[in-house]
Amino acid sequence: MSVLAFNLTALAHADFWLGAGIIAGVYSIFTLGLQMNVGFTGIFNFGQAGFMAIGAYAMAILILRFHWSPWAALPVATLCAMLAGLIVGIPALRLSPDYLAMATIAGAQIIQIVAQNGGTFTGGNNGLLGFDAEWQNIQLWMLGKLGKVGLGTQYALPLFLVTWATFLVLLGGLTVVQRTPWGRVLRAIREEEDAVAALGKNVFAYKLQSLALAAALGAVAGYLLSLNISLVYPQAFSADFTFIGFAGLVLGGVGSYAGVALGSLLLWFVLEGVRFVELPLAADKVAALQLLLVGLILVLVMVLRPQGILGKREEMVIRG
Amino acid sequence: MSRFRLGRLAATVAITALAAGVVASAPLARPTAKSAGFTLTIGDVEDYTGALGPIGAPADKAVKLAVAQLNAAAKKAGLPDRFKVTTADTQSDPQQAISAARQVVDSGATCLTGPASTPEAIAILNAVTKVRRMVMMPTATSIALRQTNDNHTIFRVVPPDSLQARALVIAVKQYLRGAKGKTVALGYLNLPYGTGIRNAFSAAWKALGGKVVTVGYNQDQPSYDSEAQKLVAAHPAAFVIADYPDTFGKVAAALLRTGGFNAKKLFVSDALAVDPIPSTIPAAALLGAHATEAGAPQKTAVAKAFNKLYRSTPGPKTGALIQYSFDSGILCGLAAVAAHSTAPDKIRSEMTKISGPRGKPLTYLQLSRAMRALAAGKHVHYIGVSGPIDFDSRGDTKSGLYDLLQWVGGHLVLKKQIQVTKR
Amino acid sequence: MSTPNASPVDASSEERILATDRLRSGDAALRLVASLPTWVRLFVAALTLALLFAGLQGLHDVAQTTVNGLVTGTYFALGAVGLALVFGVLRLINFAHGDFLTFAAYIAILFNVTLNLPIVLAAVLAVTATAALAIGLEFVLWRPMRTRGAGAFQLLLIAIGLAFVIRNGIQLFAGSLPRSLHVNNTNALNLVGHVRIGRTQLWVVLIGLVALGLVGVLLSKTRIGKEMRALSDNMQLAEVSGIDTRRVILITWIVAGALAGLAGVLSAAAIGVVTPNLGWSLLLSLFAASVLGGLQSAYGALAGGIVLGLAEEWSTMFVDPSWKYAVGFALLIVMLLVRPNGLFGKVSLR
Repeated sequence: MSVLAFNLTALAHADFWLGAGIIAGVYSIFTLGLQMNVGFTGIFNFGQAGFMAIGAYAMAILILRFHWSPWAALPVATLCAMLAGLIVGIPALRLSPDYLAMATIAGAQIIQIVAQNGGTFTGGNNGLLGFDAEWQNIQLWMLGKLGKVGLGTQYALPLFLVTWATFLVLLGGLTVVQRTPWGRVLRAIREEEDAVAALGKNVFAYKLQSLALAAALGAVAGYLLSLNISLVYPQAFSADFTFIGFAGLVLGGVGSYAGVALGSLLLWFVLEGVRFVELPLAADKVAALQLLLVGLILVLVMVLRPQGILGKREEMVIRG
Repeated sequence: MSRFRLGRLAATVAITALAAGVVASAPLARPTAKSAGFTLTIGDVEDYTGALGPIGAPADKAVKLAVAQLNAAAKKAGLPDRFKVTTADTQSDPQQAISAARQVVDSGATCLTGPASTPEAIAILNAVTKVRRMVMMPTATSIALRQTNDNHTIFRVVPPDSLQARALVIAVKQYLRGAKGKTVALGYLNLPYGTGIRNAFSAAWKALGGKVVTVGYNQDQPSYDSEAQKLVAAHPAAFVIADYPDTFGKVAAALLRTGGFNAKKLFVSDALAVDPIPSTIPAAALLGAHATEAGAPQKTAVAKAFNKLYRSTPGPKTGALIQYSFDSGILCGLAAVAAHSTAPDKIRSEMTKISGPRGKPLTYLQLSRAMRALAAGKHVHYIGVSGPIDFDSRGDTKSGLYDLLQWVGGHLVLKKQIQVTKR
Repeated sequence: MSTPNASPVDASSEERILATDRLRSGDAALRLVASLPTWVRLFVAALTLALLFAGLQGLHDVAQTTVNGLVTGTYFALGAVGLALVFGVLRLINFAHGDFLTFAAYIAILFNVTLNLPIVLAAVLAVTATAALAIGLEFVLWRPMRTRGAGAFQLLLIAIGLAFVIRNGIQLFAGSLPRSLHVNNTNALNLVGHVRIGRTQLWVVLIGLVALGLVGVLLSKTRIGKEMRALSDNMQLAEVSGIDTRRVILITWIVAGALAGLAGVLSAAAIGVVTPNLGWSLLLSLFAASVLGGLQSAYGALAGGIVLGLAEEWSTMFVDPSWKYAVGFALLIVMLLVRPNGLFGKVSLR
């Protein structure tokens, strides 16, 4: 009988784990947006992948079709994503949570289909490439500097550092924002929306802002994702991306921004680690096992410890 | 512990992860000694699951067969070199393709075969193979792959869809005795392979004065009847389909149901040139139909031998693009023999030594002879199962020779060969 | 603990009264139209559209795509009715519903192909197995979670997680290579003129309609059906009036599971090739169909399924079929924005 063995030497493969770390970082930034919506405002935003797509495509199209500099394209593309957040939010936010979930999933799917069928403008099925020329230069520069400390051959390291540095900056920003009056209103909306409305606050406006901010965070995740694969490609922004993001969210804990990193890192450590489990079955079982684990994590966390690792039990009251 | 402290703990974990990443990436001492005989690890990154899932297992079997042939030939040639393959699933996703590539590279692979789609190949190129100057041999067909600077690392045995589409145009034109004013109904799968052939075929056919009605469809649709109806309603003189076998099974059934479809008018591209016809495709849709595939003068003998070998070994009995995967594996092995080394850069520089036109033409049935010649420093012109290996300066196949095959009695038979001039 | 909101819009009753007032004060013709049952209005609208399209594209195209739409509409309806029943009684959007279809298809393949049983027997076994799966999950997962007072967010994510588990569990065991049932699906017959329908597809429509008819009878004529509707309207009231809610919920899962199983087997037989993604890719369409009809109404789900099928297939006359999915999703979004309660929802003049 074959035993499930784990290839321990795999742990020493720095390049692989740095790559997994990049994916975890991208998901962490993505999930910061989910956390803001679900954990702090009580909005069931299941269309985050769609905002990610809009940000990434806007960036690539501005750079490739309109020949903008990346430094100009990035902020404008982020604004595009935020605008999309507003456009989606204005009609959708008055729906109750279950319906909002369905509407946002459908919306994100439509964005993906438009990207896929968009002909030469969006690059169609092959996507857009060549937008990362500036990043390649930066990466070479960084590798040069890293070479001075003997790390010049760790090709995944520059993007790893940039991704996690971005995450930490955003985490810091969100933690600060959460302590402001604006942030407190958001939290109050999640817990007791009617009371907040009774106090005269425009609940709808706050929700819109929360969605727009989450869209911006999704866009940033989209840029880093695209730089990782050097391609802006429609299938990257699937509904599954959002669902996996939610798995990381609940694992880390609803209501904790820092928990987002913990959840995503743990999730991706496990998911990528599955590649090294010496399965007695063929290589095609890896994908099924990975996604099976995602499902199990979602179910088990929600059944056994719905607040996740870093969340608080009381915080699990979300109006639905 | 309060939430605040837990939050700080989490942030600390994140920063520690960052630091650990930096520290862990300190290079381990890598052995550089060149031993008397090497063991080449070929990394096979295939689409086992996801949109291109049906491609992976047959392709991987082909690469494993190639490795078995390489080992047998090395033994016969008296060489101490050995070959093995390590496989990883790209999940038809560029992100996971990078993980798969890293997985095999970290397991010692120095030459990659696969993947089957252009976006995945580009992702692997930019993240893994380009900086390492490692050869990758994808079975991806888009010319978009050539839009990016690959540092001379990508070698493609599979013909780009632009060339194959032109072969299809020539085949259809000959069948219809002229293209002007003739309508072709083209059905394609809405994925890079399908849209690539659609774009190239439509442009070329219209340039000849013909008409094209294109109908695109996605995988996993609940119905393909309206699409089939649209194709048939155009009353075309010929049908062209660019698709993979699994979706085509559903489209073919729908086409047959319309009652207005005749397989003899059908032309398909190489991904559908499968023999025998799998059980998921209704045979009536392919009997009498034509298929294009990269061709070779000695094709028939080698192809027969390969098909027999493939069918007689355990695993899938057929698959799309398996001949290209097989040849990719053989090429990796031969290049390593020529280089006397498994170093990626050295393998890369030897790829021209096994490609034509210089050198004695040898097939996989004469592999040990080829190895002895290469070990002695001579050129060899490898004639693959998929055709003669003739790389141009970019690493694409120069050979514009295509086979036009037809399903007769359930098997593919060579009808004629088409020469496409590469512009 | 919070109970999930059944109404798609957090509308106050005041707004509803205003809406009906507006309708009353409309002109006579509008009142006449508004007084017709929704079924009739829907049928007339569809007929008008069909005639319009026939003028644009020709009668044959419209007729053929209508037939195609009715076939896909049958699977949509079968799946959507199950979704609506579960949502009505449990206020749960079962994201795993699509994977019930996949499960049924693979069980059918197991019996029909691997074990070589005749297709009808394999289908019956598959449907039974799916109903059993549904009940199993109720005992193991949903009932304990309800007893613990799980909120909507928890249940939603559990359903999503379950979908991943079932789908990938199937892939782990059965592999990702496509499979077929031993059914000949290339035979077709002429309905009228040159309008074709596959023989298997005709069976699918007939069996589907019979099944849906039976469900309709179950809901309207039997006691258990009345109890299901009572629970759907107001769970607390139903409990108080002595209905055994646990039993009703169990029956609901059996019916929903069986319908999903039937949909899975029928679509597998008609389309010919099955992959583990069969149900997951249908799921959003099933949502769209239920929302179209009004998530709580089983009849609505039936109509929604047919409408969605027709909409998707009719759209191929005007745009490239690669946009087909987008049409369905766009319809879902439009419905949610314009008429969130669906065509047969509560906010209508009846």
